[in-house]
Amino acid sequence: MNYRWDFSVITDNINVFLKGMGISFALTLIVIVIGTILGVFLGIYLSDKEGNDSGFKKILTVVIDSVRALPILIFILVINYWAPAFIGIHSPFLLACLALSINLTAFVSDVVRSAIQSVPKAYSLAGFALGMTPKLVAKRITIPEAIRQVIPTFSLLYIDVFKMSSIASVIAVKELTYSATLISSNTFRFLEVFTFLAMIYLAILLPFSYGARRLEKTKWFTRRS
Amino acid sequence: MVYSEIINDNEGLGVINLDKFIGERKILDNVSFSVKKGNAIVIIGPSGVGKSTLLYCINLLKSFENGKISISGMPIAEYNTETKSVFTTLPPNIIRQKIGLVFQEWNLWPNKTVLQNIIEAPIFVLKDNKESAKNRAKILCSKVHLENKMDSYPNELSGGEKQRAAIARALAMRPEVLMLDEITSALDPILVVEVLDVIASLKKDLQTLIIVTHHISFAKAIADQILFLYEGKVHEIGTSEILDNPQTEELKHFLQTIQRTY
Repeated sequence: MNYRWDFSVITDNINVFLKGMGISFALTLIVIVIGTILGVFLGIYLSDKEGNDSGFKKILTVVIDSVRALPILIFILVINYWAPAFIGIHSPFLLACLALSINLTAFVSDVVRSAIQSVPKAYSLAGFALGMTPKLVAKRITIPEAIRQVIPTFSLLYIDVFKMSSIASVIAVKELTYSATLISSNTFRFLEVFTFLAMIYLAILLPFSYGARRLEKTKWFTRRS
Repeated sequence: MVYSEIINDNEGLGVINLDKFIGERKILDNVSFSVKKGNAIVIIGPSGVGKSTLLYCINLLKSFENGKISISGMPIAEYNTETKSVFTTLPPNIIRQKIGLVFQEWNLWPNKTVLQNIIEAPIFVLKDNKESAKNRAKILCSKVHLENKMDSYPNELSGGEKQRAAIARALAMRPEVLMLDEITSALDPILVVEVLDVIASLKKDLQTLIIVTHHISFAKAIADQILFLYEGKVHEIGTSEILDNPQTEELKHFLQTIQRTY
């Protein structure tokens, strides 16, 4: 292969990359905060099988399943065309925040719901037998136990959010991938730009992946009575 | 049996005409008994006759379809035929504070140490001061011979130690009545002795006990009353003499089977 690599395109445009990275981080952070908060509350609500609102819960479950089933690229494009018309949001950054937050909420809520429901009944029964109220059992026993189960999955979802933030480039959010596309189409140095882009993603995400794996192996997660 | 005949000041716990259905099947049929304060009643019977269900009903972890339950002569729960539900004079969680239950499979919380398992309910239910709850937990740990295991997690304990930790956790709530549901069934014979010694020491402390067990020799040694439950009914009830002189074929057969097994 007699291709002449020229990485000066990277150094010449480092500011564009850094700006794009900042937008990627901001997008990821906002999505993680919104998606986690909404997802956790929704998951706790859906995990409670009692109550008279099972019809509403069924509808919510169908919506969550639909969001999870849609490819993220399709979903972000749907939001891109629907949201300006129906809720008046036009900023690509906000549209990306909306689409990715809804997506993360759906995944987080499903993880939280299944984690709470998978906490052995014996643990909550022991709480009830000691005179705890259902609220106290949830607060002190079930939810802390479920949190232990969801944290490793959450770290994978968060890594996915950062990866998915690259899809926001299709609706012209000026994040990292969009910056790379812009630089490469101006310089025609596709190999250098996208190799560098892949390295950035790896440099950011690999430590998180290894950290998450190590966390999973700690006694805090593996301990069972 | 008439309700007023059972209630008295010396009563630890009374159960009157209790019925429990699961679907169409009658699990408990007109079960009545009373245990005096500081006494121990041992419930025996083959597996699946409703022994655990009876304890769960008394603890209000399961509802029932007829009957009443009282503590210290005061009615606490009664089935209301009009509303077709169990009416309680106090919220169920308050009643459960008075009636402790130790489970067959201990049900310890895995991510809390023995000490944390014991102090959890006193701090968050009884609103005890953390330090005093800890001090009391330490006394209870030494009572059940776990003083060296207070900082261990349940997965670091043997079956007998887990069961003794579960007993200490129930005692930390200072229950008026303590119910033990086949707590030795998952243990090997050496560990069984450890746990039975702890229960015998509770009897000396005048703790009112309701014990479900298959250990007949232990039942004889500790019981003030023995109740033989068969197909959901109280088949025989009396002092430990009923084990030496069974009146029904069912109890005779049960004792013969148990002697072959244990």
